[in-house]
Amino acid sequence: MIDRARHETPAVTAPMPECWRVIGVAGDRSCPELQAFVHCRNCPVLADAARSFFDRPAPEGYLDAWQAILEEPAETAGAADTSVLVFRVDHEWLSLPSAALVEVTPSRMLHSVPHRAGTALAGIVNVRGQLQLCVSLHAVLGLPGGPQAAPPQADSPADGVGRLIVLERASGQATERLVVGVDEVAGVHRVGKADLRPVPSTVSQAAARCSSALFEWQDRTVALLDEVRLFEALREAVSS
Amino acid sequence: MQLLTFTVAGQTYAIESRRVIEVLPLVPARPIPHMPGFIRGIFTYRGRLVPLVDLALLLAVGQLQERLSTRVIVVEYAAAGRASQQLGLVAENVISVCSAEDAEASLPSLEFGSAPFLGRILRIGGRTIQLLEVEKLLPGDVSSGLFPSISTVVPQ
Repeated sequence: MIDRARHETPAVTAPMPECWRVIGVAGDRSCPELQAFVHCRNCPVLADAARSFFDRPAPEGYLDAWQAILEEPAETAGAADTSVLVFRVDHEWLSLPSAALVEVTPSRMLHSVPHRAGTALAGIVNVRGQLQLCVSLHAVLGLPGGPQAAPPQADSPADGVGRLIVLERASGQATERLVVGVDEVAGVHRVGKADLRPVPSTVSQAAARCSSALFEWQDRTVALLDEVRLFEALREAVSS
Repeated sequence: MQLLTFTVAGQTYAIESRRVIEVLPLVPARPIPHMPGFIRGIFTYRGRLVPLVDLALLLAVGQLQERLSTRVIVVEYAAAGRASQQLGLVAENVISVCSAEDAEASLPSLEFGSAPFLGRILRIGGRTIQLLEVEKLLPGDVSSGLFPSISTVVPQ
């Protein structure tokens, strides 16, 4: 991303018959062509004016100013950033690289799977017509609570803060999807690589196993989950 | 497929816009002696030195007129089997883009050994546009001369 405003690109001005300022959208709108073109930007007169505007030598100092701009190396700060989705599970704030996400959708009724109640498999959920396994992130990470297949979910309002996150990973040719329920989603944020801190080795919680780094976000410490390890952990929890 | 259109000696040409990194004003380039004529020189692009190709001389169709709309198109240039490099192309009337899907008629690329970069010819909105293929733009010896293989292993 190149910051144009900071460099103040040299301005170019030229006199021309500016009908759009007199009878066009910037004037009294009396131009009959406006009926057909709606806005001056669609009108060939403006296009021709733009063409003739560029059809002349560069003003004094213009190219030199540009040369000075191009002397500066490209700002690569944006390249080192990762985009993460920040969400809350119980009291823990966690995040996942947004590349691993398919969508975030409001919580909805889960269909329980017989004989699997109370396990990490919370149920089956319909996402855009496809049935997906919903895994309890709470259970996998060893936190209390979690999505339930019980009826209370059914009549809870859809605009509550609970969300379902659809994750995807490529396994061979096919892609595999899993749904996890979270208690709140705080949106997608960018995190600089430099702001990531390693996970302390003393942390022995289940969440730490899946975490790849920690970062500070709005006075909170957020764990960045490793999408590969998390997916493995979720699969393991479902198959056990 | 989005195309960036421009003219060279009055005729409209285009390159795929996904190859384009940036369009710049015609900034001065430092000439390099003993280069083929169509290499205008080397210019500084965001702190890097990038060769600048004059499309009018490359296509052998005369001289470019230096106007505001005569601009440098910085493209991603990946010659066969090499790492991607940046290359500047100078052309006139670099002011619009169009979509290849809007073509009313098209002609497949004409095969002439001397100009392998000439691509399909499309008729879009009353203009006949010839596509240029960026990877084949430079002759092999010029390409390997401008981008010696050592430059492909230097970390950026």
